[in-house]
Amino acid sequence: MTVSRKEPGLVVSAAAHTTLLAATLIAFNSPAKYDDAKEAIPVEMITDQAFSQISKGEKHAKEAKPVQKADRLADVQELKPTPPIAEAKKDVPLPPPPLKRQRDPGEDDAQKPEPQKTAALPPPRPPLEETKPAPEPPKRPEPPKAQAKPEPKHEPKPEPEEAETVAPKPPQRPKIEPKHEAKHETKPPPKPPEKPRLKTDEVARLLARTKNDDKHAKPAVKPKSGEESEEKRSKFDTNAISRLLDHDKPQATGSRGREVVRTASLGTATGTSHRMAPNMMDALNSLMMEQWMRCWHYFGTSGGSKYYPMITLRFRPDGSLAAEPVLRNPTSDPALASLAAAAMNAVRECNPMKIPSQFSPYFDQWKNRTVEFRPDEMR
Amino acid sequence: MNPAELAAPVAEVSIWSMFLHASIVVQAVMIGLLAASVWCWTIIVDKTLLFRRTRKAMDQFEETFWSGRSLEELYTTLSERPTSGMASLFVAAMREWKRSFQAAGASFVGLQARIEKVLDVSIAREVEKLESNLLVLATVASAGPFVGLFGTVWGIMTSFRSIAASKNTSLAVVAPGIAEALFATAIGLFAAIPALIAYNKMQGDVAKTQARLESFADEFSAILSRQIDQHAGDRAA
Repeated sequence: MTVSRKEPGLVVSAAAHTTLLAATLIAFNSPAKYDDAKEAIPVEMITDQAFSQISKGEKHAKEAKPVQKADRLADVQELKPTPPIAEAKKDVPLPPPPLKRQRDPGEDDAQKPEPQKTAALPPPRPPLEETKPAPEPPKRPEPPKAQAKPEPKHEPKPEPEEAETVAPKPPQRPKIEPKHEAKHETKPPPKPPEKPRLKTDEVARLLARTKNDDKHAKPAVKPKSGEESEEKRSKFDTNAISRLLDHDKPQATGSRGREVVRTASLGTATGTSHRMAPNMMDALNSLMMEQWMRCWHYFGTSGGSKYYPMITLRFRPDGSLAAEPVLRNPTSDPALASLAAAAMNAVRECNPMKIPSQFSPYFDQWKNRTVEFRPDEMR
Repeated sequence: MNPAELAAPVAEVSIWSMFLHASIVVQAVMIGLLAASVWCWTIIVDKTLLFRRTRKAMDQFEETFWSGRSLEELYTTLSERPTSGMASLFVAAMREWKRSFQAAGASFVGLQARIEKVLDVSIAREVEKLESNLLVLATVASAGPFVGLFGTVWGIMTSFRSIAASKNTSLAVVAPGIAEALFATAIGLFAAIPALIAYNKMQGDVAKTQARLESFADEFSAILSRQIDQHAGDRAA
């Protein structure tokens, strides 16, 4: 295209474009920069306590039924009376209601030396079996109780726990007597004590049998409830009971929990459970130590030996001892034995521990404790 | 430091660097579109000037034509230099007229038809002169955006491939390529929009001019036709 005066288009256009391009280059050379917008990261603040409590479960776990395994519940806790569950029938030893009642009364007696805590369980059972033969449901606890009153010294174990449990229902006892032992009625006061013995004796046998099959055991009991049992009464030895009771233990080794069955496999909505945070645990430990130190009257040392008395304690929710403290590592050295004794004394002396209510939700975690007393640290 | 920045140093974002970093296809598209834009504006400027000149000349000629001067005189004046628009129509028709009379014994029978033909040809020539290159505007107007879009698609394609290669989706890595690609579309639109507007406007101008030429041709041929009839009557008489 020739450039002529008449057609200056090319020149004009080229010039205009060049100008425009130059202007653009200058104007857009440094584009406006956005302020550095940092990406917002959602941050959730949790306390160390919350973190330590995290216990997320499996989302797709089978839903556990809120069934309470009755097992061992009773000795330590006051649970609401749980309705007998299907499972309860299988386990002979579990009469839920009586066990619960035992707890409250038991507190007072707990401090007295009781060789065996489990003693409580067996007595309720015989009554359970008795109830079935009797058309009118009498309360089972009475027999043991009757025994308790007349001869408290003979059987210290059943007494403490049951004596009080039964206390509220004295009127019902008379009903049982007429039916089971019509012949003995003539001497009301002396017989009640004897009756329990018969039963306890039977219990021993029953215990042996129950494991084999529970169903057969029950029918077998009925015939014996009468005179036959009386004969064996004379042979009865209180020590035998404890032996028998010991055998009973393995039947119910289930965990003793305040809440019996926890749906452990299912995560809760929040993913946290009632678990004591480490810092709470520390606080509780130091709290307890502090109290024991006040009750600590031993001024020796461990004498360079590595022996430190270890005492296993079981608490009630209110902080008192649910059972006699047990020295885990008895020693034959008399010097060290005194140390152990001092530890036991300290534990007993501080018996109702003052446990702040903030720890009560975690009772499960501190109800059983094994404490090691190091004399060097106790002063 | 952000790993993305380590991986790909942030490209400069000036127009020039955008052009330099673009792939060669996109560069070609950009250059082509820029050239098209220059050409379009060349045509626009030239045509605008041409139309203005043409309109002025036609106004001037009509004024002279209807001023009552003798056609012979007007013809001698105009035929001396190249003419445009109506003047060229007038000159062409007068030349044909004169040739018919110069030849001795020429008949008037076909003269009217010949003059009309000559006028038509002249109109066509004039319109063609006005219309020339207008189709370039139309082409740029319609094809420009597509060409720009092609550059954009190509550029984005390239930048996505480099994203895939670098396995880094940080916006800082993606942005320069996309900006380059979009720049092609911007240039395409920059060229196409004025071209479209100018084409429509000039198409209208050409049509107006053509109508004016045709109406003049009709009038002029009517005048010549009257003259022919007079001459024929004179001869017959």
